[in-house]
Amino acid sequence: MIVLENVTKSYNGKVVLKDFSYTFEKGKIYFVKGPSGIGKTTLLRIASGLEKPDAGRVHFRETPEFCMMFQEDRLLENYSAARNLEIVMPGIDPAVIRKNLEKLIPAEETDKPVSELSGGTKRRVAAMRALLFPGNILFMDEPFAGLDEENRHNVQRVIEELRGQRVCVIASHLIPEGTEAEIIELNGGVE
Amino acid sequence: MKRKLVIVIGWILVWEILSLCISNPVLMAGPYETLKTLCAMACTAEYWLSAAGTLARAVCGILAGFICAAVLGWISYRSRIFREITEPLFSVIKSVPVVSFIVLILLWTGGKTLSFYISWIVVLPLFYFSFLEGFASADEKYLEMAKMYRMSRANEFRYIRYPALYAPLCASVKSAVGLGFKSAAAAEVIGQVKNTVGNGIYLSKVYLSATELFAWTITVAVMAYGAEKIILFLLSKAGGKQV
Repeated sequence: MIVLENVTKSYNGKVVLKDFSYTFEKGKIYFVKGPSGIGKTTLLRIASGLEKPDAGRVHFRETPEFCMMFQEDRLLENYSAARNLEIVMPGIDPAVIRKNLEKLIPAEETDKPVSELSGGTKRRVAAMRALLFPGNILFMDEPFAGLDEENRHNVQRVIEELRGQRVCVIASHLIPEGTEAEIIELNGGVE
Repeated sequence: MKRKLVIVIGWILVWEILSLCISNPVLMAGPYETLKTLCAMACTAEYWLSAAGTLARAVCGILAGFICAAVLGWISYRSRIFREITEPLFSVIKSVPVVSFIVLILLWTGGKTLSFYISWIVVLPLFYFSFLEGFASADEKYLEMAKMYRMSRANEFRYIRYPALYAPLCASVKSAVGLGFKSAAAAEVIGQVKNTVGNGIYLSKVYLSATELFAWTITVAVMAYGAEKIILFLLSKAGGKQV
């Protein structure tokens, strides 16, 4: 589905990815792990076309339609959690959006402005936005950051439930226990 | 609200004391005489015709300036070359004395549309720089999110670009609208354009009538204040309902 061939990327002379090659298959979950600054986000950004590699190439076996959960929440702070999702998914029934949102956040929080939500709740709203958005490639950058154990499990369960046949690439320094996902460990420039 | 009213009454008292001290109605009209003259003028069709003429030209000029600035600001934001070419022009327009434009436009177009062109050219650079600042301050991370979630151009503008534009636009409206009206009235005085507030001000100079001068001045100030409040209200509503 996504093929990265000899991808190299550096910032200010520091090599973040060097000759990185990998094939992400349809319907599978991949965890990209490694310490902060190792290039997890860079890998996701290159694979999603948000950044160009210095060398190498990225190609797709079918037309890519991306859904992305960014490292920052990037939610519209003055609008409610539900409205944030409705804005980017005008074709989806608001009742369906609400029903799914309530799987991750309490019902009474769905209509509060995002600015009034806690960091962890925002993170879960951002996760649901990416999960519900139609597409065949799902990237999630640190979806468990700032979440307690219970919410981490909850998010993990909802990812499993909603990912469908999408390729799902998750960059995270926390890997849920017992996951059957493929784990890719970045180790500083050389894979 | 109550405090504001007290402050206004305080300033009217200062004005009254000043006029009593000067005690010369040709040089300084008091608030009572001014109000009396304004009421008398308001009973004539000529007053309303003049006020409406100035209001229409100034508002049309300000709106035309706003629209042109939006278009040019967007092109400048997208094209660095265009920005480098146009920025010195707008900086020059900002610093050229308004009276130079008044005389020039008077020579080119005559008096009838003079105040329209003057208010247009006076507000154009102010709005242009605000649009440029607003477009440039839209958060790149949110624009990236809009791209990734395939948001329509209209939604991208409404939810990401407009909130960034709002603050600089409001700041420029507060200074540009008053300036537009002042410049329009000045142009009408110099151009002696019939049936305008500016012509009323000119005639008050000819007849040495400070009360009429003050009454016309209040008319311009009220029109500018009203236009500013309406434009600010429309800008606040343009972002749509939040939450």
